[in-house]
Order: sequence, then C-alpha cells, then structure tokens
Amino acid sequence: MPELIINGKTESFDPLPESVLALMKAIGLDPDATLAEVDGEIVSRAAATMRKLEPGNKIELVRFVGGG
Amino acid sequence: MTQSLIIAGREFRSRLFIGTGKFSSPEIMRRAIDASGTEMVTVALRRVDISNPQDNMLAPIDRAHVQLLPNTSGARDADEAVRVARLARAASGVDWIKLEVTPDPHYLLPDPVETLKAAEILVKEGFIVLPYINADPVLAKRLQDVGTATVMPLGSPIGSNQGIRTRANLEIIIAQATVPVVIDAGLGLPSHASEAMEMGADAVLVNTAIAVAADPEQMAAAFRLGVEAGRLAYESGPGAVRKTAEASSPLTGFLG
Repeated sequence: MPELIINGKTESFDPLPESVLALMKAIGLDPDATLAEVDGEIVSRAAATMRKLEPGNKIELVRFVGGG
Repeated sequence: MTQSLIIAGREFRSRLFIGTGKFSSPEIMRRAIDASGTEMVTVALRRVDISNPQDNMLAPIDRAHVQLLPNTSGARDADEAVRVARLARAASGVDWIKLEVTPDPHYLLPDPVETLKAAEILVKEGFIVLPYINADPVLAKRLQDVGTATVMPLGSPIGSNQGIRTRANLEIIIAQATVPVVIDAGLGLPSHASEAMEMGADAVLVNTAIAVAADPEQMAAAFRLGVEAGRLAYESGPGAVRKTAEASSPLTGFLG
C-alpha cells in the first residue's frame, strides 16, 4: 500500500490522495485552517490542489493553536 | 484619550496585546479578547494531530479588527525560528511575526544570539518582526538597528506571574528605544501592567494571567483598565519622587 510520512509517522493510503488538498480532505482536516510542507517545501493554499503527491513524500501538516 | 500606538504603520488604540494560549475553550478566549479591547493577538503554529483534527482556532478571532501575530514558539535556534516564521506567513497571510527562540525549557529564557540572527534574516525577507528578548538594553539596540518593528523584553519568566523583576534594565531599554517597547511575559496582575505603562512602555503582552484566571473575561477587562490607567498616568507626567515630605496643604495662614 502506498505510504506517506506525515508529521514524522508513516501512514498508508489506498489509493494515494492525488494532491495536498485531497490528502487534507481524506484525513478530515479543514483546508482553510491547515498548511502543508512537502519535502521541505511550503505548499501555499492556492497551490494545494496542484501539488501532486508521490509515495514516500515527507509531509508536515500544521495549523494555528492558542499561544502566547 | 491616550495617544495611539503605531507599529509598522498600523495604528493601535489599545496598548494591551493578548496571547491565546491556555484558554479553557474558544468561546472563553473570544470573550476575553472582546473584554480586553485588544487589537493584536498572538497564536502558535503546531503539527496537526491527524487522529484528532480540531476546529479552526482562528475562527472566533475578528481579524478585521484584530491583528494576528503568529509566534515562533518551540523554536530552539535561528533556523527553526525562520522555518516556523515562513510557515506561519504562508498559513496566515500576514507578515507579522513574534520572534521567540527559547532553547531552555525550564525558564524559557530567549537566546539572544539566535534571536538576533533570525531577526536579521526575517527582516530581509520582509517580515514585521517583534522579537521577544530578555531585558538586555544592548540586544534591544542591536535588534532595532537591524530593523525590527518593536522590542519585547520580559518582565519576568513566561507564565510566572511574577510581575516586573527587570525594572532597571527595562528603564534603559525604554530610554534608548527608537521602536515601540512591549513588555512581554511575567505580568500577573493589572497593577504589573499599569507599572509597565507608567514606566513608559508602549504596550504590554499578557496571556497566562488572563487565560488561567477563574474568570478570564473579567480579568481581561481588569488588564484593560490597568493598561489604560498606566498609560494615562504616563502621559500626564507623574510628579517627582522625593526623599522627604512635601506638605499638600498650605503651610501658611494656619489658625493663630
């Protein structure tokens, strides 16, 4: 099964989500509140549909939380 | 009515900035923000827990009236801080960043060398940089020289509620500053915020003291009053401190 490394953990997907946006939706994340970095490169919100994923991509998914 | 505060061309009527950490619910946070009258709130960037996606914490914040100030909390060196700042900019769409580099988890004191290094990079990349620093007048000057929008020296360690323990150095920082000085961290009571404003600080940043109060909304209102009172007093020109008494009543014309 194709795998992605998300926030340091290996996760399996079948099928692999096509894009960053599809990945966020597959996990149940609010795309307006989430930002992705793929293999060290920031994927802007506008580019989230376009950025295709491949097995083995290292993905960071971040969001804002309360902080001082 | 006190003077407005201008940071990087943006006018702030309120001199109380609020951190959004530690609130028990988004609704309590929203009510505290409203009660405080603040026009700038800090937020942090963290990894999503993909097994437990949560609501958008920015939703309760009225961004038309409140400037979002993402922070780089968690960064232990300049490289991490720059990375977080870039992510925060992409995630928020704002160039404002509270730069904090705190390698020591016990006291959370900011690393001056890494903070200066990160500030130089971020200013060049067009960020509006508000650095959290120890109350170090030399560092404050170096940071304003590289183009930070403010300096934000601590009153005492983050979340400690100890109030202003760095007064002598804060006075030097305020005297030397060409950018606004925001006293950040350690303010536990409205009287501490008032003291900071009476000293001539341009603003204060408060989180823990409001968020962990039994009634955060009411404490936010209390801090609002404390900040306003302190600023009004500062702009009113306080009288000199004397070692001896000076009678308030006339010393002449008393009954023979």
